[in-house]
Amino acid sequence: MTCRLKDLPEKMQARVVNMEGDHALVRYLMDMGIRNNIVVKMIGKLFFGSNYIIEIGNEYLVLRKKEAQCLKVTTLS
Amino acid sequence: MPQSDYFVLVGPPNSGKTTLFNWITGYKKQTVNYPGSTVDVFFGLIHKQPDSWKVVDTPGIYSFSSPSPEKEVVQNILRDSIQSNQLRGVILVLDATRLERQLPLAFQLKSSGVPFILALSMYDIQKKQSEMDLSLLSKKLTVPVYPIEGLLGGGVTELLDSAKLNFNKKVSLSSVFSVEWSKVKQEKGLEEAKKVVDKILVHKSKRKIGIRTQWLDKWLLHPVIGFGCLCLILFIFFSGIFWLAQPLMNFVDSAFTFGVEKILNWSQGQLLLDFLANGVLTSFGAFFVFVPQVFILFVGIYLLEDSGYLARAVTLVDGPFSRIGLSGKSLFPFLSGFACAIPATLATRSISSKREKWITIFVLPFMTCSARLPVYALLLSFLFYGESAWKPGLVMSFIYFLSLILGIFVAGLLNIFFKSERHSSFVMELPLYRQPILLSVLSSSWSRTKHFIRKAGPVIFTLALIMWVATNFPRHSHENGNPEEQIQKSYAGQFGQLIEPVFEQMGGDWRIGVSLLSAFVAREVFVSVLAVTLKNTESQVGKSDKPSSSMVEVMKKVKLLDGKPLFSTAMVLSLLVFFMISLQCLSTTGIVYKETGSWKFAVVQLVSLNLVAYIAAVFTYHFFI
Repeated sequence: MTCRLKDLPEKMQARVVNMEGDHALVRYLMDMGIRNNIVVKMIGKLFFGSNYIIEIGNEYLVLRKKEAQCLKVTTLS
Repeated sequence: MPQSDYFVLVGPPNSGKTTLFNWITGYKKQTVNYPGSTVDVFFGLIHKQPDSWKVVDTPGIYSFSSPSPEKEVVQNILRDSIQSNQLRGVILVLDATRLERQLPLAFQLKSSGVPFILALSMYDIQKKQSEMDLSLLSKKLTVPVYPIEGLLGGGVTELLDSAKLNFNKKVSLSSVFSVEWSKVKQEKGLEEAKKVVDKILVHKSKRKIGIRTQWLDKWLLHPVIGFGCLCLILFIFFSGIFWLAQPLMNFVDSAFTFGVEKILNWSQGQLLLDFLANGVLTSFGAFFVFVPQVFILFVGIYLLEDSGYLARAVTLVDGPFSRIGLSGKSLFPFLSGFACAIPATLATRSISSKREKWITIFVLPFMTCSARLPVYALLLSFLFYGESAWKPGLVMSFIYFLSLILGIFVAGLLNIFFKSERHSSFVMELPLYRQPILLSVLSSSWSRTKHFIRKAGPVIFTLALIMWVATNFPRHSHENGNPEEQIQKSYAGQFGQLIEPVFEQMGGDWRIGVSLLSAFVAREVFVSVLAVTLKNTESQVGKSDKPSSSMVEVMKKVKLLDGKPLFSTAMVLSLLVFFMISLQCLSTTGIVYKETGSWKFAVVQLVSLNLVAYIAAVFTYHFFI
């Protein structure tokens, strides 16, 4: 299933397949180590979906809805 | 910038640069603003090696290709030091547990041609999951690699020996590097980093690092329990600040009062000594009395930051804060604002979005800073004179809460009226929970406190001079020992009487006016100036009475020209409202200008908050009279 990261259910893993958005945002996300093909896991959603906590490798990252919206992911079974 | 040769520490935020810097310098550092920026840079000498070079700790950066004030400063430091022929090399500090994400910075530095060696922090934690073939990493990067142990300082000596060996000549590059960004290039860098990390990982164990962190985060980042924990931690944090600082504040206050009294005893009316006592010492006393609180506040914030909790607190509040135009990172300045707006304004540097930073700065004066405490204490003592102590205590808590709500309300208004086309980005890493290094926390807090004193000192001295001249000139019958007449006929007094009609609207007279105006030096000055102006009035009004021992008793007796009491309940309430909203601290305005680089912003904030405070105070007076 392909969806936006913001729609990924909690505890589910997915692979980033595309990063959409303006250059500044994509660059910012890549600075934080997010790239195509990287595996992410949705840990939790905070304050009515304002913020998302994801796991990449050993670490947790927090994103706002806007950033989570620009990442297209495919869920891993 | 230092005049001797030096090497520079570069690395991403939270990579352990400052911990390494502290081990190298023996916790002795100097904080400076890099010219033309609002970003702090630390300088220090290599510990116990007087003949060696200086070391510079730079702000954390993720990349040399992304625009940010921090990146500009790091790039400028490297560029300037190469041009001035002082740079020996760079120590790149990367977190071993996050190497895959951070390694592209090493590739960028390598392509720049600047000589560097790699320090791997957190290697002791990384080893628990899997060891790394550091010689292979060194071969891949063609630079020496040294693991560093942050808690005990292991590996620092070897790193410094290597720096001396490798940085044996000055860097002379014909062109300074500029890294142009392209998505393909950055993607390639990230993929290359993954390949390198996959190759160097050996002895992989099934044990996963960060298990304890994940367990704690299950509770501390819980949408409901997490907020409860945050409230509890903040309550302990604030109670601790006030409880621990109080004895130190009393000591500083007594020391300055003693100094002022001694000098006034010697002065015999000499202007210079009077200026020293009533101008310089009184103003600096009013300022230094809050330094213990500021220091303890920084200690608390560094403890929260170094333990890894601050990032969680920021995460929790970012959702609600972003709805009103603030950032989760506004929490840090807000916490500081309860001690003093000056370090709080400096703390807004961590907010990357200009809009969020400016909204945060604008509403910071609503946080009840400790300078307001003496004013509130006096006014509430008047309102609840002779009543149980819990009543003023309860109202004081209500004032704190109401001020916070007002700040949030104003931020929401600004967010509605000043829409921005660009939304700010917020991606933050949550570091592993760690045991803070107490010495490092104390050293960083002291360094910040010294920086705060140095920055605010000249502003306070200038304002002290202006207010002293305004209240002491032209000279009138001071030799007769009548300070009230002196103040009444001084420039400040004349001005106070000129604008008396303005203060009449909130139930005051020229004495309230002068006291409020003098509070622009520092809010707590209101109490001391009011004391001077009222003391003589009391002796004139109640000639038959014994002199009043307390300020509140004086306030009870002082009358207006028509015989009505000057301090009515309505008037005191109007003063409370005025102090809750107004921005009287001119030192804060000076710092706001420095941080925003905009006089327009600083003046608009100053004028609008005071205007709204005045209107609200007038309304309160007429409502309760």
